Amino acid sequence: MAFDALIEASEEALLVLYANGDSAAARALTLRLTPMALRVATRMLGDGSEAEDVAQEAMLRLWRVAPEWRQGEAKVSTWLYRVVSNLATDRLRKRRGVSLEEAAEPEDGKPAVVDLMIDADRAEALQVALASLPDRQRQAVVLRHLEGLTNPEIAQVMEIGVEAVESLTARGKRALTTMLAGRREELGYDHG
Amino acid sequence: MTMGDKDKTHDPLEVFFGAARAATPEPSPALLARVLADADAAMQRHRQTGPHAAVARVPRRGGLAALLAVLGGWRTVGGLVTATLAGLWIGFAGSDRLSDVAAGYLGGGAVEVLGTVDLLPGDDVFALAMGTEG
Repeated sequence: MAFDALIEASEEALLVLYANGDSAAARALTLRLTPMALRVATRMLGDGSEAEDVAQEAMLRLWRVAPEWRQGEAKVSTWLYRVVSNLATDRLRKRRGVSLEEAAEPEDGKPAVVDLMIDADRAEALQVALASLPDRQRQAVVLRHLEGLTNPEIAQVMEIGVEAVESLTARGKRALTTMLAGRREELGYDHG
Repeated sequence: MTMGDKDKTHDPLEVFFGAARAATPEPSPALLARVLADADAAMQRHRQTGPHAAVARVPRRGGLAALLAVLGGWRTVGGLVTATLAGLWIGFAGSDRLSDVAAGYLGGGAVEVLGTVDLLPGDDVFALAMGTEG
């Protein structure tokens, strides 16, 4: 298939082409979907190396499922969001044994939230705060506020109702607000 | 400014979300290469282990197609139809006319022979079979 056509093709069409042996479709899907898988995994896990593993594993599952893909039943991106989120959640559960209170604290040698704020590295401060949220809240907040999905889309990814999504994101944001703004003076929150 | 934009400016978390969105991690060339290698390997496996054409949604089978599948296809159904019609004909025409049909197929002499065949062996044959004679 021509390169232009591949750029414009839907993810589902590309997956069907891949399943029929089209290597160019595999490249197009890789370039289109791997960044998204890595983004979500990184924001869920807060660890680049683990996130790469999860992104690769999620893409591998996509390649494997391609021949049996049922057209029209689910969006490829929705399916991939779900697989990445579930793989990341599995890894988070394996890390357990650490209480939420302990998880909220930065590990020794890592910069505290206050330092990150002084460095104006809000993205990393958010990542630290996200890490202390319960898995489902974190997943909902990441998909809503960092990936920009709508609540119905998130409901599909998480296989729950829209109201449950709203509840998860609201609770997650309340907790984040408390963590990030609770010491606003100390953190220099008002200065930028 | 839309309502959503206004909401965002009042959301104290938005500066953090915005910063995080701007700091998007990009996949390394090594990761992309591994993903592509997986794609190629999976494609090879599809070729070796089964139909690798993408399976579109399988249409539901109609009632006749389902019945045919259960009975074993058109060939089996053809035999069943023939046997059923033959039974019906015998039932209507009666067994007397069977000899006429047999004569038509086998000739008149054959029908007479059929009528005299002893289907139950006599004592001598039975004794021979049991090894008691002589």
